[in-house]
Amino acid sequence: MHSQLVVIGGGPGGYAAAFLAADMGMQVTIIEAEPRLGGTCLLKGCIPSKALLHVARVISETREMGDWGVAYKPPKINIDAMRARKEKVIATLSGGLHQLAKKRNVTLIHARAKFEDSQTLRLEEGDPKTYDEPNLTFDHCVLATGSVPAIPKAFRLKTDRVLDSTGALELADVPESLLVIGGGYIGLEMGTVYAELGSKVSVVELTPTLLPLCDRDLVKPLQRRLDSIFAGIHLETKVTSLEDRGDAIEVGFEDDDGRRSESFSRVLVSVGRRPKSKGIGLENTEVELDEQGFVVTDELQRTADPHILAIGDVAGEPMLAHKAAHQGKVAIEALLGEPAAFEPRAVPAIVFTDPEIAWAGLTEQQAKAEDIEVEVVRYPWAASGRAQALGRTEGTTKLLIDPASERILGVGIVGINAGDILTEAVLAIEMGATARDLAETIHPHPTLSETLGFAAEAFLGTATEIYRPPRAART
Amino acid sequence: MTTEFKVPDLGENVDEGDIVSVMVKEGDEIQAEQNVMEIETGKAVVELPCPFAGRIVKVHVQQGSKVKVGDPLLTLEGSDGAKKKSAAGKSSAKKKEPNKAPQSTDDDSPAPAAKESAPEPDEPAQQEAEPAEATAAPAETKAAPTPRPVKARASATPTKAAPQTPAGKIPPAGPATRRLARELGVDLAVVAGSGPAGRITEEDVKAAVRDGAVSPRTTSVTAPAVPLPEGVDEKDQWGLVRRQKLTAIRKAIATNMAHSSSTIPHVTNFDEADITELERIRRGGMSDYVNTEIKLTMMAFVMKAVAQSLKLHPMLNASIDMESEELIYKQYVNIGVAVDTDRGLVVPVVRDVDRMRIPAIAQALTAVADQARAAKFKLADLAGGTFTISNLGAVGGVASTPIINPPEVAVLLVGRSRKKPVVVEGDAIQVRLMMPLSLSYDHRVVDGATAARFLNEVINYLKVPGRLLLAP
Repeated sequence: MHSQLVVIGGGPGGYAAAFLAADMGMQVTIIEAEPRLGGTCLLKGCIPSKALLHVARVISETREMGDWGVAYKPPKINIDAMRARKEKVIATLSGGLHQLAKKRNVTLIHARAKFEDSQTLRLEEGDPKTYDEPNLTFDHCVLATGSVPAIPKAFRLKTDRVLDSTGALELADVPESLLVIGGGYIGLEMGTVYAELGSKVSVVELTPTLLPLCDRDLVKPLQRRLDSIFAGIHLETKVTSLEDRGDAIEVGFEDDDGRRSESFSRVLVSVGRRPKSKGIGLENTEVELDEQGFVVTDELQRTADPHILAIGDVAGEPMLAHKAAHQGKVAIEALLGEPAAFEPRAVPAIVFTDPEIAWAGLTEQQAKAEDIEVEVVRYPWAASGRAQALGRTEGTTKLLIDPASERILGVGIVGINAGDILTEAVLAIEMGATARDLAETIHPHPTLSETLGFAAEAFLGTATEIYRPPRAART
Repeated sequence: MTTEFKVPDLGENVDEGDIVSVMVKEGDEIQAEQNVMEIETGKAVVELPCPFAGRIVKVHVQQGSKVKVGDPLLTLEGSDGAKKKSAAGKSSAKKKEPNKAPQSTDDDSPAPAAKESAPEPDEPAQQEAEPAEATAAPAETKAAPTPRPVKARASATPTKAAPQTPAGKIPPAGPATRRLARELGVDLAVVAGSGPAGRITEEDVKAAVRDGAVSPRTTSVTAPAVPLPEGVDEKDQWGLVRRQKLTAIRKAIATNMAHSSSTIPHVTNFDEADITELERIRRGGMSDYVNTEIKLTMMAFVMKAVAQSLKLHPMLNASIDMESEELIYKQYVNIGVAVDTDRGLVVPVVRDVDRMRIPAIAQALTAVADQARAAKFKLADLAGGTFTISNLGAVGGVASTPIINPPEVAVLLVGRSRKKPVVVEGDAIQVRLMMPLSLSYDHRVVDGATAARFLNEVINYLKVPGRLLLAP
């Protein structure tokens, strides 16, 4: 078998690349190890977690209604129905992808692919009915194998009580107690889901802070709320052991106060993800990996092997679906000689907790680390009518502005639906917009998006709802 | 402190040469790598760049000097002695190279620093993944190969794409503008934005292209197909330009042409010769010379026709001396032949053409043309002409107004011969092979009728080649 273009991996990067290539007239094959298209994002990541977070959010809103004089009884949870409903979301979207692939004449092969050389793949497992021969040759290959949860050896117990993110999303039950190892976004999102469903959730994190890549001021409101729904947040604490006690997992902790142990019904290990670059025969190609196992690419997504491009998680941080999709399109356009390049000014990132944290471009941490001079302006959501109406005033919208040009270099937002209002900030950064551009763009009232315009006005000293002592006039 | 610039290594098996021209004089300040003289070796005439900068205290040679490798050429003062090049003479090779500016980086992208790929990430035990994946890791390490482009896009060293570009210094331009810049090969870092706070618009990018701010980083669709010769890039009011020092040969051409055009009242007569019969004879005779070094070209016949005509019209083979107020009739016929070379127009002279038979002329013509193109001629080979013929037939064109090469008084330009419908005797129309001729003459010496009679003579010789056979 031969294909002009082979895409290995049917995730958001892979199918974006494959579909664009097909639209551009290439003959395309997708090889996917799972029976369904969608990748981690659709099958065991972004989409199912957001479905469950939606459930969690509605549950928490029923509690918030108490303040407004509306009382609900505690919810009754039918976990099987919930799982089925979540499955339906996945099935609908994945089914849609298969239809799109069919319409575009993209060949789907359900198999694991291993490189025999720079232009030959060996296919195994999966569904042999989807491939006639075990060997597939190609002119070009887009490597989009993604990433897998990293599970430290010591945490690999032969019990389903220790979960990774995939296991947690399968929603086997609502455990009485759940320990989340790792205070990153996956752990906090899944912890939020289980906490709202009724589990006693604890989080343990090795470093002094949750979401270490995030600016502190953005994490603070989240941490306050998590404190109220989680049983415990243990920072600067190390997990020394996991032991299967049959009906529970005994976890050994170590912190400044010494060692102790505690039992949990289930343990979710979410200490990070690693690129899926091993075991796929890349050693038989000229593809080069870095120290973390990421495939090294240039800004056109080309690897050191002239026949192979790489995109998405396997091609480096940040491991985000929207970055993968963007790179997938860049890779195909580069292949066709179009003037594309992966040179974003900002890759947006969102933590879908409650409240959400969203940021794009420069962060304060980064500015400090790289010694970039910025002026930081924060707009507290307490001054937003919409936030008051929603009863969620803990939010903040923050702009990082270049003092010389007054250009927006970075934006950070914490608050409900922060992710939905981030997009304007990403566009502003990509377009090189200044604070005045943001301030003089009329924002619809009353929305949370107004806080972006207000923050820019606050920088210019013209914010209606904020009194700032007179300062040097800005032009 | 003084530094001597000596005759450098001139290349294999070459240890001496003649100084063709000296382009500097004592007291001149020169830059390092500035061309200072032209030297002729058995192989070529090359320009010698001096690797040192400084003020010239002494020039040890002059035009015509014979020098050997190691002989002093210049003594310089205030030279820091730096920029010593390993072999300055090698720069002759460098000179022949196509220029380095707008090149595609495809094949020239520097190989990435040979870095060993780490097949097994050095992770702490805690970070290790499923054993199945970990054990399948490759054992061998590879040096990083140079990536090749999939398409005609400029290649880049595969560095990890920085997910977040360092802020602050980023040129402010939206994604569509950046894409346009990539397409046009414009480096946004050097584009001045006209928008608020210096934002770069698509118009700014297009203006940058007009200003020539095209970076060699990307292969541009508008990149010139023919690379410019070497020189120094700079900007003038309207865009990018390249300055190149005049070569000695170009300088000589410029001086002579300007002098000729401004001092000689040029008049040009146009006519055409029917060479149908001549061409038939030439083709018929060519087979006799197939395995010889003689190429029986039409030019040889034209030279013979001109030489014979000059004998009959000596006014066209004369010079004028305004100082002594005399005409000088040359009793020899030396025809200069314009040869198009890489270095510029060169006019070597074939001597005593009137006494040569056509095959001999053809042979001499081939020899001087080859020598001219290989830059193997001596200055003396260019001197002593009495008439010049410029043959543009191989290139194209009908008529032209050639400029006289003084002290000659006339020059004949041969255009491209074409088959044309010609009215012949009895008002019949025949297809004839016609050779266009343009004769410029010095109207101080040659009157219009004289020139026309001369040109008629040439045309008649060409039309009736039997006359050439009977010529002495």
